Amino acid sequence: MAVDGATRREITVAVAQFGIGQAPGTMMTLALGSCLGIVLYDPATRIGALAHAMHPRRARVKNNANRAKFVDSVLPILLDGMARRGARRERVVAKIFGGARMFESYAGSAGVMQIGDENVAAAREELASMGIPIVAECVGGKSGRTIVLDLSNGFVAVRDVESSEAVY
Amino acid sequence: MSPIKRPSYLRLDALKELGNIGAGHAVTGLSALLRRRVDVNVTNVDLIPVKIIYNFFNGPESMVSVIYIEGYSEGFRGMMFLIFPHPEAEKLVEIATGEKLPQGSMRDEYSLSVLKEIGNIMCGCYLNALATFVNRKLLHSVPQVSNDMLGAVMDSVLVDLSMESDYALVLETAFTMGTNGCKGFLFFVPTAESLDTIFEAIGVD
Repeated sequence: MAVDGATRREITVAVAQFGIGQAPGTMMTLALGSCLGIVLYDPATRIGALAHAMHPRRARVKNNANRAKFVDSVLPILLDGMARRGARRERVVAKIFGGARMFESYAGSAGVMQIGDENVAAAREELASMGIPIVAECVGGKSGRTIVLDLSNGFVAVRDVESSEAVY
Repeated sequence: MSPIKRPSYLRLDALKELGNIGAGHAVTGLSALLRRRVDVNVTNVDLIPVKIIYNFFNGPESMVSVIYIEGYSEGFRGMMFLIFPHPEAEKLVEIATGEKLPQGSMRDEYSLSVLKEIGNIMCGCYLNALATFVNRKLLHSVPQVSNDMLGAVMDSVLVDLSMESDYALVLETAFTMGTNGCKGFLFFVPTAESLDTIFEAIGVD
């Protein structure tokens, strides 16, 4: 489900959702763990997009009706949505956040706990193949992150439980 | 795994009773460890959208301690997690150790280890009670613990589940420790196959 940025200045994107907005205003997503927060931004039109993706690849998951849940399938949706509002793809830059490992190890179904790393890898791969540069990132580690995108300048404020706020 | 369907009322009632017994054992274990009285609420059982879990307490950014354990056996797999909201979780560690914690030490090895032990005891007791019902030997994983934002921790726990379904059958029990109202929440989330195993074992059709 997409959140429409035309009527609201503060857009909050929930898990497995995405939003598209234009300055002025902010877009944020709360408590990214192993999930990946993907920010796309066109500085000229100040149109931005934010997704909170849970899994790296759509084809690998059976319960895949919601395209916003996956890194690889949400990216084209974000780009289309931005283009429809007037953003130009060749100007779009990306920033990625999250992909942490919240538990040190995982005895149950091993592999699933690497999901954070896989999300990051999938985003790097997909963005590279689309020719969109990643200009900033704060990924991995052991802490959850909340991110806020300022649509007026494209800066993303990141806060986690261990450190104070940083801007990317 | 296959997507989960809402069980009949009779089955939900049976699960509720199972949850009550499991939680009763878990809380007795905790009470023995803390040498404190622990009050337990009635277990809630329902099929809920997974994303609701992110909005417990004060939403995804609420600081919590989560202890995660997986129980498994032939034809049975269930996730158990214990959630202690902050700052009460610190009180819990203090009660368990009889020591005053320095500020901001919840992410220390020491506190994490105390929380893991609490998880081990509570989930072990819960699963043992369950094992008696389903007449199986249930093993459980090593406890994993994380002190962080609720949403961030749940991301990792629920990612597995969300591959199959956006809904989960959740057995939830709240309990209160001592007189100072330190709260904890115990969740048991069985997979669809485990439910069949449980219903078959206890003979509820």
